[in-house]
Amino acid sequence: MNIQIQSLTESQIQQVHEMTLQLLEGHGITMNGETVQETFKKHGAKVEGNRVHIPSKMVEDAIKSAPSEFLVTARDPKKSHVIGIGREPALVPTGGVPIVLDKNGDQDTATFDDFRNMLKLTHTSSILNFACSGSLYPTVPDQSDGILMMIYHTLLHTDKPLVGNCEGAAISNACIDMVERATGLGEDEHMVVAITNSISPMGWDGKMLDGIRTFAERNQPINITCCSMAGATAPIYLMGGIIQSNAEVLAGIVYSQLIRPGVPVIYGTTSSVVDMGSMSLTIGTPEAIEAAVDKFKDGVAEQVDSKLIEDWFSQLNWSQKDIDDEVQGMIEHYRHSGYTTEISANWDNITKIYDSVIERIKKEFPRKDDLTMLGGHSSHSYINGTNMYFVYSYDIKCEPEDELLIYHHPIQQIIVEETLRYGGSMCHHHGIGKYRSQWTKEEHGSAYYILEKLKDTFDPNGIMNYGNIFPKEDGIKAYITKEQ
Amino acid sequence: MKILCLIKFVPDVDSFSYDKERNVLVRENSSLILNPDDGKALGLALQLKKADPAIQVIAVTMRPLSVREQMYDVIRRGADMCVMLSDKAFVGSDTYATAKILGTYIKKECPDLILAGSETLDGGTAHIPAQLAEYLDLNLLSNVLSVSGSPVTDGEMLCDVTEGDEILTYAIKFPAVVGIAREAAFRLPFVRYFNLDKDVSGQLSILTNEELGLPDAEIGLKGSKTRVASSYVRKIEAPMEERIVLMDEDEGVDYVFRYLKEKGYLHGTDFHDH
Repeated sequence: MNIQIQSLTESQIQQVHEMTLQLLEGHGITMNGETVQETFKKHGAKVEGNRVHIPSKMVEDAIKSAPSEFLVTARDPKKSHVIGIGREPALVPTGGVPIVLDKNGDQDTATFDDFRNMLKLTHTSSILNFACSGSLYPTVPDQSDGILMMIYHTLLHTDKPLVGNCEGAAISNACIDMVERATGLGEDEHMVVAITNSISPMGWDGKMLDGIRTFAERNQPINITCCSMAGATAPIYLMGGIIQSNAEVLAGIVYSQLIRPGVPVIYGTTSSVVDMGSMSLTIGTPEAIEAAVDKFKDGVAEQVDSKLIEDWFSQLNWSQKDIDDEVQGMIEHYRHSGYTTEISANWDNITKIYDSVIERIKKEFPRKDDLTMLGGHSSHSYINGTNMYFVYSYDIKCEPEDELLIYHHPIQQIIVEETLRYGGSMCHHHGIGKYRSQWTKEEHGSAYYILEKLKDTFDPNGIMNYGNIFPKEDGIKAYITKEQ
Repeated sequence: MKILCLIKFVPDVDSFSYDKERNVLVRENSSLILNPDDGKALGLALQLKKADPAIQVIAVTMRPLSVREQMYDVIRRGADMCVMLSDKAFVGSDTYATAKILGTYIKKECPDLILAGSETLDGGTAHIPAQLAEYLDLNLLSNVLSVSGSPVTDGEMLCDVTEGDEILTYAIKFPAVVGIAREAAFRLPFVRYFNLDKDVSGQLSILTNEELGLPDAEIGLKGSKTRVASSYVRKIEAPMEERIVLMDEDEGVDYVFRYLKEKGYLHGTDFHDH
C-alpha cells in the first residue's frame, strides 16, 4: 500500500518553503538549552538569548544532507523496514496514550498489563509493521523508571522494528543501550527510531533537543514532528499553520544534521485544528465519523418537549403585524437607515480596532453629521477573541441610488481597513458576500490561493454565487461603485 | 419654456438647541438652509424639466455671496444656471424693495413661469410673490399644492390651491407667478454622487446693482416702505418632564416592567411568572 497525496502545486510548495526560511531566519525559533544554542552559534547562526535565527543556507544544507531513505533493522531481519518516499508506509501504534477503554466501554488509566497486551497485539498484527515502546503510558510512581520498564517489555514481546523513547539524554541513551543489548546490533545500523516533538508556537524544549542530540550522536533515526493546533498554538489560517509547523520541524532537522550530518530523519507532523468550543485538539478518525453518523442516523437524537417550542414561537419579537408595520414605516420614513458590519479579532486587538474605527469615522467620514448612531456590540465570544458588529444608522440625505456609495461603503471601508490593519478578520459568521469581496485577498494573504484552488475545482465556470467572496470587477462596477 | 425659481436661504431653525437654564434658543453654529417652500418650488421646476429637458430652469436669489456654495449645489441638483443678486446697497431692503430688485432682473429674463415658495421660515410675510406679480403685472396663484396639464404646449398650468377647507383647481396662463405651499409634495432632488464634485462655477452669474441700475433711493433702507419695529423669538415652554421616584428596588423593577409592557416593548408572559 503506497499512499501519496499532493494537494499543493510545486509553486505553492516553493512558496511555503520560502516563507518558512524567512520565518526561521527573520523571526527565529526558541531552542532551549545552552549546549543547543552553542551548537547553532558555532555553525554560524545568530543567537539572541534562547532565540536562534537559522540562516536559509543552514536549512538547505540540512535538507540535502539528510538521507532520502534508510533501513530500520529489526531483531528479526526479515521484519526490517525501509523508510522513504515511495516505500511501503511504516505503520506504528500511536504513542503517549495513558487511558484505556475496556470491551464494555469503561475507561481507566493504563497499567503494565494493558501495555503488555498492547505489545502482544502489535506483535501479532498483520498490519502494524513497527512496535512502539510508548504506545501506552502506564501510570507509575517514577515515570523515568516506568519508561525503562516500557522499553524492556517492548523488547521482550516483539522483534519488529522499534520506535523508542527519547525524553532527555539519559532516557535516550538507556533506550539505545537496551535495544543494542537485546538485538546484538551496533550503532552502524539503525535499530530504534526516536519520536520528538516541538513545542508550538515556534519552540523546542531542551529535553527533546537532548533526545535529538543523543540519537543523532549514536546514528539512530529521529522522527522530528510537530503537533501545532490551528487556532490555539498556530495561526487559525491553514497556510499560516503549515508554514509554522514546517519551520518547527525543519529547525529540529537542522539540529540533528548539525550534530551528525547524514543521520536519518523523518519529517513528521500531527498538526491539526482545535475545536473552538472546547479548545481540544481534534483529529478525526473514520471510525469516529461513522459512529457519529450512526448515532444521528434517524435525525433525532432526543425529542425536545413540544411545549418549549410552542413557548419560543409564541414569544417571538416579530409577528406578521410587526413586519408589516416596519415595511410601512420604511415607506413613510425612508430617510433613515441603519447597517451593521461584522468583524472579528482576538482580545488583544478588538478594542484597538473599535477605537480606531470610531476615530477615523469621526474625522474622515464627510457625512458624519448625518449619523444618528455609531457603535459596536459582540454576540459571539471565545477564549481567544470575539466578533463585533459595528452598527451605524444615519439620516439619508441623498438619492436612494447613491446611498450605498455616500454612506454605507465609505464607513464599511474604514471598518475593514482598520480591522485588517490590526490583524482581525473582516467577517465572522456573516461572511464576506459581495460588498467586501474587494478585500478578500488582503484578508487571506498567503492563504488566498487555497480559496482560489477550491473555487476553480468546484466552480470552474464561475457560475455559483457570482461576485461573492471573490471580487469581480464587473460586479463591483455595477453594484458598488455604480459606474455608468 | 423658461422657468425662473426664486429661492432664499434661511436659518435652520431645527438646528437651534434649547438652553433649559436660560430658557432661550441657542442659534450659534446653526447653518443656512434652502427655505423649504422654495425647495418645493425648485423641485417642481426640476420635475417639469425632467419631463421635458428643453425647459430652462434658472434659480435666483438675493443674498450675500456667502451662499455661493449652496447655489452651486442648486446647479448640481439640475438647474441650468443660478443668478445671485448681491450688492451692499441691497442690505436692509424690505419686501417691497426686494420685490423691485428681483422684478428689475426678472424683466430682463422674460420667463414664462416664476415659481417661489409661498412663505419663508424666517419672515413668514408671504409678500414677495404678490409684490413681484404686482410689479411685473402678472397673474399670481399662491398656496399651490399640486399641478397638472401640459404647461409647455398649452401655455398654461392647472393648479390645485387650498382655500379654507376646499381645494380648488385653477388654470393660470403664462407668464405668471406661482407660489408653492409647504404641504406640496414636490421633492427637491439631492445632488447625485457623480455630480458632488462637479465644477459648475461657469453656470453661476453674480449681478450687482451696477447691472440692474436701480437708484439708491429705491433700494436698501431708503427704498423700503416698512421698518422692522422689533423682533423676538417665541417663548419656548420648558418641555414637561415627569419624574417618578421609587425608593424600593423591586417596586422600581416592577414599574419599569409594566411601563415597557404597556408601551408594547415586551410581549408574552408576566414578569412574575419567572
